[in-house]
Amino acid sequence: MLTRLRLWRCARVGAGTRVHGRVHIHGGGRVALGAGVLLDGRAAPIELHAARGAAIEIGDGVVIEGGTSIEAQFRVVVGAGARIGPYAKVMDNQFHPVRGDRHQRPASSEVRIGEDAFVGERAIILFGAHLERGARVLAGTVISRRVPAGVAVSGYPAKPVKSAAPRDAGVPSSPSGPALASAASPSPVASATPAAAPPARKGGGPWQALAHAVARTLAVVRARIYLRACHLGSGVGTTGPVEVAVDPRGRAEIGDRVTFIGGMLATRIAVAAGASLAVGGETLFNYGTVIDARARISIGQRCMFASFVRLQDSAGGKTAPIVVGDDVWVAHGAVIEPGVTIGDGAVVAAGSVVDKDVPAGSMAIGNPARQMSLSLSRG
Amino acid sequence: MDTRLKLRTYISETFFADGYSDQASFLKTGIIDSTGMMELVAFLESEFGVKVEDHELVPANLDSIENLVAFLGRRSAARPAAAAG
Repeated sequence: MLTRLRLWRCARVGAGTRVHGRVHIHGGGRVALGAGVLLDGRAAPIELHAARGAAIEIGDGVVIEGGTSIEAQFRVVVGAGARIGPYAKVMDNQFHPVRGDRHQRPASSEVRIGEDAFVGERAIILFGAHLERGARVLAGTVISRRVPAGVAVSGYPAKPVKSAAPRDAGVPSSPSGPALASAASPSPVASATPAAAPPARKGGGPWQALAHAVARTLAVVRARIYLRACHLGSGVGTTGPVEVAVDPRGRAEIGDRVTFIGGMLATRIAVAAGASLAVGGETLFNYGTVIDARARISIGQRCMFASFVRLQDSAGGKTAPIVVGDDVWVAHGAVIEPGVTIGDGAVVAAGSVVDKDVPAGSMAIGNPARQMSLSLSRG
Repeated sequence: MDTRLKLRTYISETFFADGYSDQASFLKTGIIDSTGMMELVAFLESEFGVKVEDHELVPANLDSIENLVAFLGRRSAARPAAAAG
């Protein structure tokens, strides 16, 4: 009964389904859970986000672990007995086109995770992916295609794994520690909307305009509280908690109209003594971003950082500044390593681990990331 | 197995696409996206023993069977010359 109350946003909840810890279900679409499902959000919250008109269908006996996020703009289907997570990401839309107007949402493509399939820790399942029955996508792997029944894939780029090891064995650990990255950021509009409210629609009436203005004012007030240790430009807003630790001998400057979007996990900002963080105007951070400055992190204007992106200028015994240009898009779960400079207009694909400079106007993709032409993407 | 057949077999087994022309763009037809392109490049490097440089990751080299065959042809033609030089 308690479980059903906690899952009141779900269109259907089967018998014996359990919820532990925190589970965020939002978006106005349809979320249906089968029987005997386990949503284990004890270690970290789980997000099930079905946009208006979209559907997430979870089959019987599915286990989803903490930190995992499933986002549907169209349809995500998870077959009976599948296991997902922890910290996995499943999405049927990349939210922004790689080229052209990044605020035009591209078309969605259904994601299907078959019966008894396995999605490992921090794996990213992108639009159009189809894991057939018993397919296994191992830890840190990024995949956007069909994986045949019973086949295991690992790495980024993904390669088939030949062993017939038990499903939890032989999973490679993330080479960059706790954060592999990838995927896209929910749109500023949809994600900035409180979970309980329907997404803002363009062309709304005066009441919607008023609601938007009130929400924006609240976001600005919230930013003044959460980001009080930072030097803030005008109109900086946060739509959820941001954890900030700026040493009195460090400096954090957040430019005009920068937005921090709230979500299943708070964004964390740390600036050490003698270190600096500078963020250019109109840059956007989605939830769960980690910015850890021990030397210098400089971010340009109008950048977009998707959920779970990590920027750390000190890691693995190396400390060197990170510089991100203007109009850069870093997709879900990407990791930017010390000493990296990312040129204007570049894109970092979901789940990439970037350990060398990214030229302006190119795409960094893979672990470790390689630089490819932006024209080698679908759009 | 010749280059064209090797590539088509790999694409069929990995991206489940058949019945497209040698000139068809993988990106425009939706056969391969940017994530898949990285898998394709890894295949080229392991199967054909070529080292693909990042600046070569462009559609003119990779975005159709014809482009791939031409790219691999140029690389295999360049290799003996480089060895001789």
